[in-house]
Amino acid sequence: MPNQIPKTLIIGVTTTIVILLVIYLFTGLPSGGEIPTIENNTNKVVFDPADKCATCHRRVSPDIVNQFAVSTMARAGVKCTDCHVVDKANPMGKEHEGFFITVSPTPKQCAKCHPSETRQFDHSRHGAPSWMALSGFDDFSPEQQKFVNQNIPEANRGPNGIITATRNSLFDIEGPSVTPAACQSCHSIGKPNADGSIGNCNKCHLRHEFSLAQVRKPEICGQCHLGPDHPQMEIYDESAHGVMYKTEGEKWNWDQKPGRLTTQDMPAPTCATCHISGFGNQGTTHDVGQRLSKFLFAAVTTDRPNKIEGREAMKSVCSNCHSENFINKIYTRADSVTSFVNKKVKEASNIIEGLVKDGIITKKPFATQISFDAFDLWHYYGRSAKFAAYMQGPDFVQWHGIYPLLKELNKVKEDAKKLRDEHKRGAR
Amino acid sequence: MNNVEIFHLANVRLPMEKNRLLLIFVGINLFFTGIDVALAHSINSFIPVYEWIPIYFFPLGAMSCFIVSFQPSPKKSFAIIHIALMSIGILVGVIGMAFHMNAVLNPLGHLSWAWLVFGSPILAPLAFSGISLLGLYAITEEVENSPGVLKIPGLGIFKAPISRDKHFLWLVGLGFGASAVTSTIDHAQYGYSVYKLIAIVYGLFATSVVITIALSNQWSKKDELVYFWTMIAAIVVGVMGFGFHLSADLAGTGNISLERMLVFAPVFAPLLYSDLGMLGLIIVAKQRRKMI
Repeated sequence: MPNQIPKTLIIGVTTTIVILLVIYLFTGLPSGGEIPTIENNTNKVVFDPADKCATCHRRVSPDIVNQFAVSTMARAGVKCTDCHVVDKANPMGKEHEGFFITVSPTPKQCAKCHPSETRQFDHSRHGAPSWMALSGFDDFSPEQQKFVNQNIPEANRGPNGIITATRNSLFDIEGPSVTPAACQSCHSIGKPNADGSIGNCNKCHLRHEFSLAQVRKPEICGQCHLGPDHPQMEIYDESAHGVMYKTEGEKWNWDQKPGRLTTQDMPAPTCATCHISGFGNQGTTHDVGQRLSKFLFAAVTTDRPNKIEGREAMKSVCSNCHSENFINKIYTRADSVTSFVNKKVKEASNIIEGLVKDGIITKKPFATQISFDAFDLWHYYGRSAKFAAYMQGPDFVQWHGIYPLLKELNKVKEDAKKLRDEHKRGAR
Repeated sequence: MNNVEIFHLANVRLPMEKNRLLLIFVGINLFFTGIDVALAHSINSFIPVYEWIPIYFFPLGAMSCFIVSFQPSPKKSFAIIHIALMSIGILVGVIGMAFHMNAVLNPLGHLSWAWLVFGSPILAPLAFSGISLLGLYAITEEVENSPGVLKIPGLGIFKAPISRDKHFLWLVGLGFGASAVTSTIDHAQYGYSVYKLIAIVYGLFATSVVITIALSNQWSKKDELVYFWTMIAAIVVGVMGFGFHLSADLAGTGNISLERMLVFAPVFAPLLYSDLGMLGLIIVAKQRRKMI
């Protein structure tokens, strides 16, 4: 049959049509133009198909797009460009697909929608003071230094009120081959940025979901507040608050709107509840020192500039669950531990100063074993005991705090005596 | 010697013997596929470390094809090395598919359309398997009048269930099939439009035509005509796709951005259709009988 249609053509066309129909039934293929929705268990957000950033980044970095797609920011209509696009004068910006963007938005961008929060952060020790603890004032521009001087009462100051920011000796000894992976990683929460702003909101508000529930959980703070020199996370784990969180936390209402949080939502507090959340009669704050009364991190603890207001604010948070007597008892006990630690640290520090004064050891920090020991004494054990006393972690007061502190003090005393004896023998 | 006819439709003079031409074809394919994979894997700096596997493999595989293609009759040692490398290539593709599959399934624990579309391309690594399989067959010779009896230089004779030509046809058919599936998935990323459907529709049609021939014991001259023009059209579709992808990557800016080339519309991907079209023609090319 010369005019017969070849079987390849018949099968080819038929198969193509059938398969296209099948695909159409399952995917709506020819209707086209649809971008698949991104969904998780509870939320469903559809990106605007015209969103240029999501169009490419769904392929390049799908995790980021998926995280943002289910975020409250996306639901509020915030677009990638709202945070990432900066003005052409911004030194952190670069050209990218027709936009002038910054890869890492700074508080300057966050402040466009969250001015109070960034201002509170700027005034806190999470801001500039945390970076100054490493590098002093070296990395701050004159404008930023002026801002710190005028706006952060909690920045370290001498008796005359002048900022006493000096470079950290250990930071200098370890140098750039270590510190970016070590101290800097956490202390960069207050790093000065090239755009003039200070700090990094993303340290706590992890990208790109910016989850309220996540930032209320202790693990966020525990990213940095852990380990022998500031074991708040471990202390919390040991405390009744921490045990309740671990055993009951999954039932708590983590997504309650800021300012509406009560003990019904969270029957026990996390770090955020006590220190920054709006709770009871306290409003939300991003000044992490606002409810504190003492510089517990210091070798010798002194009062904070806002000690009275700070303590009253914290007590009012405690009073959501505890009686006034109970709260006062905790504070009295903790203040007593702090005084004890102060006394012992001063004793050790007098011994070291005496050795330096008599020319037995060098003034240079971390040059002798005894200076390392004296540092551990307050930096590890003194701090642990003080933090734990206020946070109700008895094991950290006793066995990770006071006991090793006393042991270290004894070692410092014995070693100082040996050094003096050796020095005398050498002088003869 | 190298005069061939493609069915009854065209007489062509090949620059060299068909098997050697196939080996060069496989070598070039391995090379460009390797470059393509290197660019794709460079997006995430070759992390995890096993993203280096295809990068280490492709130069060796390509080199083996080129070296063997220079030998009129490959030596036993070269043939063994070549077979080993091509077998590794098949394995690289299969393992790669498993890795891609794992990457796509891992985030949610089940297959979702969004992850299928925007995650690692599941079928893409099979390109290595397909090309390597082609490289494996390219050094074999079929014993005259004994379909499926394959002579491997230096290693002996093996009996395959189907003829060598059918093997090639299946490879081309499945290649078109995989391309059609990949087009369907990839083009879903930015929404379908009429010209994006060309690749899908054409891929399905070409698959059907080639597989029909592969399954048939007999076909008419008209079927040969359909096959021939389907392959020619595949070459055209590939070049058109290259133009569309390039145009998308230029994004109206007139500037070539490596970033866009890597993550937006992969410029070389549509040329796979051209590649398969050419291969489809080469494999049916038969040595012309000399007039006595």
